[in-house]
Amino acid sequence: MSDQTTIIPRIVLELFQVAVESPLHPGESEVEGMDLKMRAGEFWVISGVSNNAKSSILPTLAGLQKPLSGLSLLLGQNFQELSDQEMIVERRRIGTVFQGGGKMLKGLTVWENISLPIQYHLELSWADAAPKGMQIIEKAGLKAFASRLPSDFPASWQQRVGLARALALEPEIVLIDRPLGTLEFRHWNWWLKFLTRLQHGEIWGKTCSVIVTTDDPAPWADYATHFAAVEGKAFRVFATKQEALKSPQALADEISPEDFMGDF
Amino acid sequence: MRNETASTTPTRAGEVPEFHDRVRTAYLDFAGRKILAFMETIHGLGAFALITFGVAITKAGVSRKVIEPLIKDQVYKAGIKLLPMISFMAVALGLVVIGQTVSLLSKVGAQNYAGTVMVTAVFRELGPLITAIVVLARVGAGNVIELGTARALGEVETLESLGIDPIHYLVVPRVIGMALSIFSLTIYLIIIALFSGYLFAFVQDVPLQPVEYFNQLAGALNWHDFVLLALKTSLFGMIIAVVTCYQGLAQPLSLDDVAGAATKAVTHSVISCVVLDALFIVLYLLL
Repeated sequence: MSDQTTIIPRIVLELFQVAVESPLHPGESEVEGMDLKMRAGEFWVISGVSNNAKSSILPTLAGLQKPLSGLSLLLGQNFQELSDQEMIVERRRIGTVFQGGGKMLKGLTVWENISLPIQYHLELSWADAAPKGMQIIEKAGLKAFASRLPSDFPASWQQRVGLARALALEPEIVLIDRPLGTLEFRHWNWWLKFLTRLQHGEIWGKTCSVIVTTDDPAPWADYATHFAAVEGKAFRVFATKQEALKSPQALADEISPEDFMGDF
Repeated sequence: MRNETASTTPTRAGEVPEFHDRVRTAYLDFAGRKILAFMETIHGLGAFALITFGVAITKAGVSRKVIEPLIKDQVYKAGIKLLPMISFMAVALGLVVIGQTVSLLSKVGAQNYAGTVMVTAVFRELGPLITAIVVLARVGAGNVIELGTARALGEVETLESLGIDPIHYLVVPRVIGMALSIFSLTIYLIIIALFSGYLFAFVQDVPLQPVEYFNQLAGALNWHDFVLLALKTSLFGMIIAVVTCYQGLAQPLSLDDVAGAATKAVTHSVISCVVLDALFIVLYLLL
């Protein structure tokens, strides 16, 4: 008889029958009946064909957008019931990396972009925020670009700046929209390994829950712990990674102009 | 039978009222849409202004090390960088308005009123308004483009995701910076305009001694002129900042919409400043 007990990690994100609002057509839902239960330290991959709603669900998961219906509990709290001040405090526990260069702030250098949340939330001057900012820059392999502006910076590295900035406040959950995007193979390796190290607590010394969206779940097969997909307006959680890799959408080999007409 | 034919077959005489009806309906429709759009803009601007002032007050001491450099940057852009342009406008204003007026008053022997005319024309009206319009043209329009592009490229969402209030980071420094800039630039413009005006009058051999001229100015100024000047110029700055930020930030924009938003912001700012100026005339008359 062993008296060892298994500690079940706490739930960090829980969705019940959530309808996600379309960013292009306010009031209309893009995903309906979304159920999700994510525990601390899990690594989720949400796949879906190009131009479907997988990117639209991230703002709802991050608490930036209110669900049209259903209940979303982030870090055990309903964000819609928090005051603005409470929400700002809670948002520091969640890092979001947007698609296409991580949406860097134009007038700021790479180092300033990454140091801004540290400076703002910890009430520090640029000089005082520098050590922490440089620590993150080094971990993200961005030291060579630290003093460059976004306009003077390779596009393939911009998403990495977005990630470094999202990690500046050592969040408990990180949401990343299509990190591999159009990157070349060598960047893929870095992303896959870095996110795994982040998940296992090798970056900050504490585990981090990770959610990424992707067109193709295959590169993540050996790294992620959980797989889901957005199929039409449905959100589907797969029981195994084999199931995810065999999903009809993952196997689709044709693209049709009709898939893109609804947005224009 | 004849009556029936007359009522169903449109005659030339019968067509005219129908045409007029259509034109009237079209005008009413057009006017109605314009009034609704106007009301929506007033409502949106009012709400945005209230949110901005609410954030400015509740977050007055928050993240000062980030916000203060942004205010300084705004004062540099909307104030210090405009000094050459304002100097030119001030000299031109002095020459055209003051010089001409002093010269004219001297010809009719009414140079004793020079100070009153200067204070009314330059100190109360033209100085603040010209400064506001220069700042609007040079910085306000740029503000809309800068913020509209930031909105279109998703920088606002980035700030929100970092727990940084976009109103606190993007709008409040502009409101404070522009209010300070327009106030300071107006004082600068008035001083230069009054000096350059006298210089012009002096060159024209107007019999008005400098001491006499400045005594007249001092005599024509009351304490409330200074208070109202500070209030009016600060409000001009706040209005321009709020209107330009509202047009750039408050609605989802694509990059194609940014130029149109800039035009709208300039029009709305000019109208708002002129309306405010008119309200201040009432105040001046009451005091």
